[in-house]
Amino acid sequence: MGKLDLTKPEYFYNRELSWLKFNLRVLKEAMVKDTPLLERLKFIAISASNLDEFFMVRVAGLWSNFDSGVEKRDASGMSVHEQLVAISQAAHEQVRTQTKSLIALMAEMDAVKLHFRRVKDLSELGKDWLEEYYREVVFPVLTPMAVDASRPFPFLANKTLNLAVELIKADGEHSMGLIQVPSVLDRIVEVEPEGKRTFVFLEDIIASHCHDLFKGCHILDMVSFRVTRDSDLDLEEDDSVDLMKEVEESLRKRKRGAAVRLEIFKTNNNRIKKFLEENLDVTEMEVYEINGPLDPTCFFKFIGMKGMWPWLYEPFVPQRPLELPYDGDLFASIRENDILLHHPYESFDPVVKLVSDAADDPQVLAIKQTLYRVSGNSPIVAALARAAENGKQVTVLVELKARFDEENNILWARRLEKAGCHVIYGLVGLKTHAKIILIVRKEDNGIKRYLHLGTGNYNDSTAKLYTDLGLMTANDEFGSDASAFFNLLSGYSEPPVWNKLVMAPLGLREKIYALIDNEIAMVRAGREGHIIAKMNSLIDQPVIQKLYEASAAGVHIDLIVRGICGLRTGIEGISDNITVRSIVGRQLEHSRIFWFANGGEEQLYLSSADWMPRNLNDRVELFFPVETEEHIHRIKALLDLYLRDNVGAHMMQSNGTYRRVRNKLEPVSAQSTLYEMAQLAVTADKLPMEKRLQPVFSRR
Amino acid sequence: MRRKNYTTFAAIHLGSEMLSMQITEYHNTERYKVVECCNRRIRLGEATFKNKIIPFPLVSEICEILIGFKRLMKEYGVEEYVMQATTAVREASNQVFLLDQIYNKTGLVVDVVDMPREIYTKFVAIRNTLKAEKISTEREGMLMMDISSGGLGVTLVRDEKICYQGNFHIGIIRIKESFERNRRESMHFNKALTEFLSSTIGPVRNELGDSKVRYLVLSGTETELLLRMLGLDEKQLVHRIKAADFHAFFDSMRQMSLPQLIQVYKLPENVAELVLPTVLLYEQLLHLIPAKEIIITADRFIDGIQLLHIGNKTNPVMRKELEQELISLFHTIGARYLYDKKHAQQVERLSLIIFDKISKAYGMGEHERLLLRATCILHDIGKYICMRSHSIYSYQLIMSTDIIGLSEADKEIVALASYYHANRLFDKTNTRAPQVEKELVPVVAKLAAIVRLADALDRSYMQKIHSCTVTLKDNKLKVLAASKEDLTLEIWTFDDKSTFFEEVFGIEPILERVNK
Repeated sequence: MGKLDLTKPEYFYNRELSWLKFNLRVLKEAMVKDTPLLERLKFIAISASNLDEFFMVRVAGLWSNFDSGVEKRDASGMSVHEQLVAISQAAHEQVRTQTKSLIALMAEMDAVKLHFRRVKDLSELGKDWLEEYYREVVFPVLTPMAVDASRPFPFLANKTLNLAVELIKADGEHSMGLIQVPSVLDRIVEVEPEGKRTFVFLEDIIASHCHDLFKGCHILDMVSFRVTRDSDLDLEEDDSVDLMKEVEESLRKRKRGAAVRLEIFKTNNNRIKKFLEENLDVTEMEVYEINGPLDPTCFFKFIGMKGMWPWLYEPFVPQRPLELPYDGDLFASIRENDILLHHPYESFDPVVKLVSDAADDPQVLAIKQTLYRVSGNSPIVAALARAAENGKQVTVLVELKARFDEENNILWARRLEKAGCHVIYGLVGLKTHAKIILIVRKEDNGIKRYLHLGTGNYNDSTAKLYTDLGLMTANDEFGSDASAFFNLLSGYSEPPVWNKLVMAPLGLREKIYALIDNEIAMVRAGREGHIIAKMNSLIDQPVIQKLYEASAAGVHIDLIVRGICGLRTGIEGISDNITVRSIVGRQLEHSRIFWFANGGEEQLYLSSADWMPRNLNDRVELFFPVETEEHIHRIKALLDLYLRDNVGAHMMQSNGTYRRVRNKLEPVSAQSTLYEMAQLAVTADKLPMEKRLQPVFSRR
Repeated sequence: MRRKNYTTFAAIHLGSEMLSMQITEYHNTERYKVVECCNRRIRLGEATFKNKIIPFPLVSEICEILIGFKRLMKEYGVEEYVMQATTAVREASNQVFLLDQIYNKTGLVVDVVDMPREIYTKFVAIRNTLKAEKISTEREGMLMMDISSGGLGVTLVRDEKICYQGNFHIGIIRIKESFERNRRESMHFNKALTEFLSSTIGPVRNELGDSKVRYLVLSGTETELLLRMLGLDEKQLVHRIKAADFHAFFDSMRQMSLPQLIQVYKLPENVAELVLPTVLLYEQLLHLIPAKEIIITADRFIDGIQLLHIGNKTNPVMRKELEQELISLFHTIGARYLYDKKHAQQVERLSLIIFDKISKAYGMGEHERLLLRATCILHDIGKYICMRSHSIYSYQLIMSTDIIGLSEADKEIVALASYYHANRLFDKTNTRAPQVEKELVPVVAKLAAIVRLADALDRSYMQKIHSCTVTLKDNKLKVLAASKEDLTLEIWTFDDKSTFFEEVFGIEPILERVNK
């Protein structure tokens, strides 16, 4: 057999376009009739918020590359400009779908007596109430800005909503003005005296009342618009950082903060459109005309308003973990058996408890942990600080580059330092993305190490939404690897010969190749070759090529990739043994699971890493085996469940589109099933008798 | 809570290429567990072997790493530690400043060990591993070759006795640094290096005489590299390889150029550069000593520090065995200078009887006892050079012989005690007398006084006294010597030599013959 050329551009999808397809899948959840009404509205808000970030980071990055003349083509053969054009087309299409969906949803809301109205359509009572609301609440925070020869166009902050105003002065001269819709006020206002639940948009309130804002001028026309900028955030979601280095420093400074998208309410007023385009320096393809409410992220707050519960899911309550049926000595439980946690179906509390117990346990000598993103008032950070105050040796590897609010990060990192923790602010050339906690405990028989290894961040808030797996173990081989890992990151030691853990960028890529090669070898030896891999994104070209190689050799590969996927299915002789599906639903799929048939002796790994260049080359990541038989079975069953899903699953078609899985079988939603199973696990009959005898004093 | 029954110990080694720490929990030498092992690469050897100076940035780097090590020691609740430095620090002219900075920044006290002790420390670790693997030296000899970055130690063991021990100033990094880059790249480098190595280690062969060697035991920093190139598991403790396989391996790679080495064995360039000297050195060694089997152990210096520490604290049997091996080495050295073995043993026996009676009262312990035995065995070796003023030559020979297991300071005590067993201390008229540093005077005097007395008891060199008891009462040390023969010569000599003993200990020795 001749060697296959697996590098052809037609074998790959562009990363950005693949991402847009993912966001479209999220958006389309808004049209699933079985889902509660306001949950559907939430999907619109999520997709809108995602799109904002996409423009701020990805599109801005591409423009920046374009401006600095980067000529590199991506794996699918597209130049930077071709990508920008294609993105603009797809994004325009997506925004149209978004607006259509939103308007349809608002009609459905109207049917259940949640009314969105224009101010002019309100009753007199309502109008009077709004008049007062405007005077008392809105007016004091409004700042009208005229734009003319002596007053230049002001800097409008990223993601703010504004009104562009066309004016005519007493002397007949035309001019323009701007009003920022104050972001400190609620965007959606309920008009209480209307009798039935009625809501208006803040920009409409302003527009209806502002005729006297510009003294001595008459208002001719008003249009709402929103600007999105190249954000000065970290380029966290970006692996074009390498290219960025080539960019001249001065150029970067100039472009930083540049507008990358203008959303404008649909209007025929070309004077206002031109005025905004020129002053914000955007080209036509960056302008999005929207015939509906701008910025649907405001609905996040709306669905949280009082009395909305009939149209929402019942509150999601993470359950007590199956393998930790009751409170008690966590260390003893871990010593006895490895413990597998599946969030958010199972509570994240044991992870917090692990750190917290360690902080107060007199036998604990040291705690070491990586922190990538933590919640605002993180109980883990508090426990770490307490541990240091209790005289434990606490080492925290903080990744400052990980967060949008860096300032806040520095604040709590300082707090940890002040408490006496040894804080390492990341590594010079790598981002630390691995999720690991190591606790060193001095016991009667000597040092014992306790570990938590996870696929998701140590963030108790997102752990209620993201599906992640975590493993607690006291296995010595894992423990000594964990120590070696921290010694390496602390600069105390060279990389060791690992027992169990695999680390990126030192060896993970090679390990992945080896595991895939092993399946190829199995097939060649006449046995079955099968891989099931679940991750968030798959875009690493060499890994994709390796998967093609395996598929061509006859290895069966099932990929469960939530987001970006650069791999194409259904290419004859190349990828016809590969399936790709994406699970979208109430929870955000986040766990990274890798299963290999290995000729019948299955191997299963969990990881913090996706198969993306940035994860495999530029980040510190961990990849670790799950070794107990029960856990392998439990996780394999989980993968099989995902593969049976015909509710939230979308299959990639050979033309690159995704189609929702629909079949005649009984509907299976992996996410709902898992939640039901977790609830079932804690029902009374599963509890030991001593627990069943306990009186209940309060409901959870 | 149960009583804690283990101790946490940290061994730290500041080597020429690596700064390492190993933390162990131990009950004893059989029951222990390494809980932490850190190895951080530092380029100390490269800097020091050429210029004899540790550059300042490197000093700071070392201190930074050590501050981290201190933190780790706290994390494991370390109760005891030993930190030792080897070749690179030993040879640095600014050693004192380095040690001072380390102490001030970390509170760690560094023990700079000399070469014989370095070799001995490793020897102890390897010996232990081989014992555990049940590789015996009973019949056939075992030659241990320890190659560190700065030195080569050669030790021949047969039947649990050290039959030869010699150390050379030749190590991998040192070889590399001895030849400038352009010389290393020369076409003739291979041949030049072979000759250089051959001339340096050639004399070993003569020393070994007809000794047959079954096992060649290789250890040291470069063995890891060798294992990797042989495709063997670096984690396994002991590897046994047939000599023929070894030769075949060398043949296969000898002609490779640097880029080929990098490609074939997937080595980084700085490592590949060390391959050639390593391979040539091993090849020369095998050429000199045709062994049947090659054993490679993973033991490192730090394992030796650990084992010696734990052994000294918990394992008197191991201590005794090690001591016995050292005594065998003393005899090997004595034999090299054609000593009178029977006399040496008689003096040793009698000295120990006296020593054991008075040692406690005079602050002498196990260590002094060992030094006394060394003195007894070696005190007359100067006669090999000249019968007349043999004691000065004894002193000089001892001082210039590597005696593994003894530090430089220990060796000096043995040499001085050997000299002063036959000479007066503080004799201003004796201009050739070696100086005794003030703090060494008590121990040297005590050992010399005992040896002088015991030597007198065998003045005839005929071992007339077959048994001997000693009593101590009212500041009188009564020596009851059992002999069927006439002891006149011994009694007269004893009288003459007892003055010094009395001066040193304040005890009057009295000799009585018991006719048995």
